[in-house]
Amino acid sequence: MSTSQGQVVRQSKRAESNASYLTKLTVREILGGVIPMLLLLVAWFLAFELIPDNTFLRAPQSVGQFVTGQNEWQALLKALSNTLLMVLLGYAVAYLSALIIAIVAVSSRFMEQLVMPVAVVVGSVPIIVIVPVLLMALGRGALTAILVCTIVTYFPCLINVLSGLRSPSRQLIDITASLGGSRVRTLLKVRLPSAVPGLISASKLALPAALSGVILAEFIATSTGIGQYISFARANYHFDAMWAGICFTLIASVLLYSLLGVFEILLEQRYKPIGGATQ
Amino acid sequence: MTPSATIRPNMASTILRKWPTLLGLGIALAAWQYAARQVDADVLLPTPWNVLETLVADRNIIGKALIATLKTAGIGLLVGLIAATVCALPAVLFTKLKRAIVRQMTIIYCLPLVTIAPLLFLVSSGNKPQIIMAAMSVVFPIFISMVQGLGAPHKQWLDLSRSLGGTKRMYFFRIQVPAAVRELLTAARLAGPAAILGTTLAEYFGGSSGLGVVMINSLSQMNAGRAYALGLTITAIATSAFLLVSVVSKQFFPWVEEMTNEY
Repeated sequence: MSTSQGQVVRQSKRAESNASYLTKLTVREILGGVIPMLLLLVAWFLAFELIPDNTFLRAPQSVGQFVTGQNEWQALLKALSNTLLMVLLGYAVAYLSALIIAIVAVSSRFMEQLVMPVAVVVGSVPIIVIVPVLLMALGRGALTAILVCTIVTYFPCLINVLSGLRSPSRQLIDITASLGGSRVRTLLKVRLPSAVPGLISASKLALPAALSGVILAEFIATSTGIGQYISFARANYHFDAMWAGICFTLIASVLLYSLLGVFEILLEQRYKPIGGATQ
Repeated sequence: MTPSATIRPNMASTILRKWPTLLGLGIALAAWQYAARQVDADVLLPTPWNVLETLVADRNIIGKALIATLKTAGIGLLVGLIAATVCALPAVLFTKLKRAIVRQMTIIYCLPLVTIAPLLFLVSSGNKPQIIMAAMSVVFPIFISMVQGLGAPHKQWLDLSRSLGGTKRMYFFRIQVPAAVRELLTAARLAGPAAILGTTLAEYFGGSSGLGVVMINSLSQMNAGRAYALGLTITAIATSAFLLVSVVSKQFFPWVEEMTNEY
């Protein structure tokens, strides 16, 4: 009796420390994004002070004034939100296609051999090739930007989802089968949950490439969003605007990266690989 | 691993075993051919056959551009390697700094390279922007694998080395470096393609020679065949850089493969 009570107490304590551990991790993840940004700001300031008579560099304060001064931030945010919308839609399509392809590939050995090589070939085409090729085939619309993002992100997602779907141990799959679970139920209840963390970490890793892809598409194809903003500013030698655009891109990128990092931590706790090897 | 995987099968049986793969690739090619046929005229979406024809017809232009790009990428790779080593050394030597330095590098990596590319052409001239771009695309993967590989703790090995009277230096060279070979090979595998792609990306924004320059020109001329042929070339060269390192690593570090399979 006393031992079991002791166990309960110990368990609840562990749960509590687990929660505080999670907050600690989350705070660390956010600080890990903020502090390097501040350091970068200092480096920028120093670079401006130390590099003599440059024509293209602008001090952080003058860029700050530019952004706050003439309500320019609204234009910047508008451009940025356009870009991020493309990224978001691209991710959505990428998740969907990665899930479908992974489920098909897991279903049988034949399907895996049929589908995966094509997926690998498409996934290994670099973004800088995808953009002009899609531009030729689909024109200068939003679809090009969205698909660029999709093609960049779906492959890492696919690989991680696939390994997630395969991570539950053989025993667990056998147990589900012998308890009468159908393949579909096994997929939904056992396999898919263990694929969730992988999906998020893949999104995190693919984020810089995805943003790069969309912005490249904006530069040379769609003429919208933050890519267009930056290239327009550069073409007009409006360097304050150009630096502001670059800053906003970096801040958005880091924020999203940290956000995905927090999700990753939380989801990893929630969906630990079931019965699989924890590395 | 099943024992059958270690036996090397002959060509015919490989093809027989891989027939679904060939079928899949065939279906994809057929779909492309069909889609290209649906579009009137092959201006925007050339057929696979057209692309191959253009590739052969334009081999001089493409070959010249390819050599220019590879040269720049090579220099960029070297520069990036040096930069990554400089950044990774403090992180490996002083474990307390590791987290901070990795974080800082990650933040810099977060900035889409595309936004910097046009800037570089303002700052420097010649083929320096391309080299810097290639170096920048290479730095992060090399840096990360150096830190992960060389900085990985080997608690038991450290204890063993200490109790046998090994110095810190011996521990580094005898244990940490060999243990890091897997990560370093991964870095080498990633760095080749990254350097080529970084160079090409920079060439999109300026420069006088290289695959990217020819690509942008053929885009503005609406020469879809050549654009696709260039795309094929870039993909092929990036993939072969990847495969080359894979083959070399399998040849010279066969035990690394086995180590990977243990996970």
